[in-house]
Amino acid sequence: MSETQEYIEAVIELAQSERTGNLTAVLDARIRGSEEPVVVSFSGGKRKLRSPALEIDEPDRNALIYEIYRVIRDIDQPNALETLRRAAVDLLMHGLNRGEDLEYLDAVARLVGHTRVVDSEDLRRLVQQQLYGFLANQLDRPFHRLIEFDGSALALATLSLDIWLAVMPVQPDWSDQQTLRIARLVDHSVEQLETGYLPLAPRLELLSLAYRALTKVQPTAAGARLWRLCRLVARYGDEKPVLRRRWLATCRKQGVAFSAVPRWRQGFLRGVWRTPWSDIEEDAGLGDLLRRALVKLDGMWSDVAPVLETWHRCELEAPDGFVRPAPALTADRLTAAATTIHEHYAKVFLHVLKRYAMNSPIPRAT
Amino acid sequence: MDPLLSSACGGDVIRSRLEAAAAENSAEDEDDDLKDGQKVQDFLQRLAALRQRNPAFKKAVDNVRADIRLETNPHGNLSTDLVASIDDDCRTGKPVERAIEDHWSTNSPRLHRRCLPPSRVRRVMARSDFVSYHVFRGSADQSETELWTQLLSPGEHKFDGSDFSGRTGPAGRPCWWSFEEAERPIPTEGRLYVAELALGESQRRRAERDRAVVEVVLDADRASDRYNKPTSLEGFGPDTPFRPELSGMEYGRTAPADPQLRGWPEVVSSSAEYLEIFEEDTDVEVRVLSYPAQS
Repeated sequence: MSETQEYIEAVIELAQSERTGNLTAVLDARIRGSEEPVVVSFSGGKRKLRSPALEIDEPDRNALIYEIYRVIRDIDQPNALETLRRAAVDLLMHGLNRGEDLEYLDAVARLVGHTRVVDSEDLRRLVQQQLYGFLANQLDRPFHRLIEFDGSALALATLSLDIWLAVMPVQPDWSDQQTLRIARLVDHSVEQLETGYLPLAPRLELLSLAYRALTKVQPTAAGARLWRLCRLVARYGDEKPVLRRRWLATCRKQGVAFSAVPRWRQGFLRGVWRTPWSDIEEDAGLGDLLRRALVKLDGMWSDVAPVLETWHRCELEAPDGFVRPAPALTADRLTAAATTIHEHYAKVFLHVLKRYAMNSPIPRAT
Repeated sequence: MDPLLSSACGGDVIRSRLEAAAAENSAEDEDDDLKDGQKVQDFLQRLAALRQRNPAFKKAVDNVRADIRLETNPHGNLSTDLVASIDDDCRTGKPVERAIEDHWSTNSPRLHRRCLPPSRVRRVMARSDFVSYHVFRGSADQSETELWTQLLSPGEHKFDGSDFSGRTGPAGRPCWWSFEEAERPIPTEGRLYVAELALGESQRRRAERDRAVVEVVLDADRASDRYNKPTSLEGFGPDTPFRPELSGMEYGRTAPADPQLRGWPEVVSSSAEYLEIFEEDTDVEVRVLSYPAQS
């Protein structure tokens, strides 16, 4: 048996024996790349465990721990899994409290995400609580103003938000106050970045994370804000196309997540209908980015495009004196059509709407 | 003739001084050669100590010994200058593994042999590593890992440049590529391909667990702007499957453990973020090969 294989088996044995303290010390040495062996207690006595050196095609030191996580998960030992997650959380909390460098914290954060601490109710609540406390106390700005940081404080705030998102289930059972906090963070961030005084490039990641958090807690509210984030990215995207690609990668990631939870997707789409389409049409760059973003968001563009097309036709064929419906009014009707009944029935409804619009002008909304 | 030397006043004196200096330089060159020779010996001793300390480095150390360019080994990939420079680093107290890292072709390019691969380069890895490190950008939130794994079913897939947030390889470390050879089909079965590419123990173990490996195919000029022939320095690691190419070919070549198998040409480069090197509409070709359980 190779040295690495022996190491893997020993770490699994530690997790099975639920020795969190020992396991934490072993994982800490692995992440730091320490060559010094760690003395650990096994049922048969004490042993020295040395972290194997990186092989030439090993991505990083975390990869071996991910593999150990998968072995434990596959052999279906919930207690061992819980011990591994607890060790990851311990490393994170100690790391944050000791003020470890970002490289270390980043490695530990990925461990927390990869071992799916989000699936252990008590642990995820603990991490959320501690992180919120950390963000509120260690960083000298209120939560909704995280976007105003720069340099290492911005990097730390971004990492903390990343972890927060990693341990946040879809639509958690949160108080209105907590949900409002996230919505406020997104809105304040967008407002600040729209002023142009804060450069977007170093803050796009934090903004994307905040937006994804909002997507988890209030998908409809997030869907309704999509066009504003696209507008922000489109404004900078001509100069820095990589920002557009980063934003689209975020949308793609979210799109894959939506594909597994149709109700979540539906809630988001309900918000997308609230987009002020007539304003979007006047800005070709924004229109293009929004379309691409919706394609990445689990192909939502194919839900939106036919409805927009029908709306256009409806407008083109309108007789003299036809008053174009206010976007919000139209969007609500289209939302009802597109999200509550089958697509076929939505088309029928739109046809009826079109005929109605042509024959009986709708009074302008006040 | 140098006008200074031809000047009437003191020209002979200057000439004789220059001749003396030239002779001195020549002696210094010989001294340098001797010093370099000594440094090579010292470096080999440091490696021997490392091998004694950690037997897993035996093959890596043997590789370096075999890769040093000498009169008797004209196609060795490590020049004496390069080895002397590593030894200089070790003399400052730097551990030998660290000094070797600092002399990878990605860190000290001028001391290495540059090469130009064909238009497309390939990387192969266990599917789980592809998802964790190529699709995601080191994010803590990996909640879509399983979903991506399902997307990457065996077969050919096309993605675009903004689908991946990760990197072509680990930051700050050499990124290994192979490429296709004329009239030689790429294997359609993961286990054979992994063996021919001589991937390391961890990659093989994970491929076994994943039951799949991923091959990502990129345009060479996008993936990197510089490629090097790999040396025993980039291949330095515990139980390394790397073998230096010593026949003077432009590229390296993977060395399968099974002598019946034939290796593939290989090159190294720095790694890059996909989002930095691709346009939104750049096609990324990904092939997922099944890795059947060993019977």
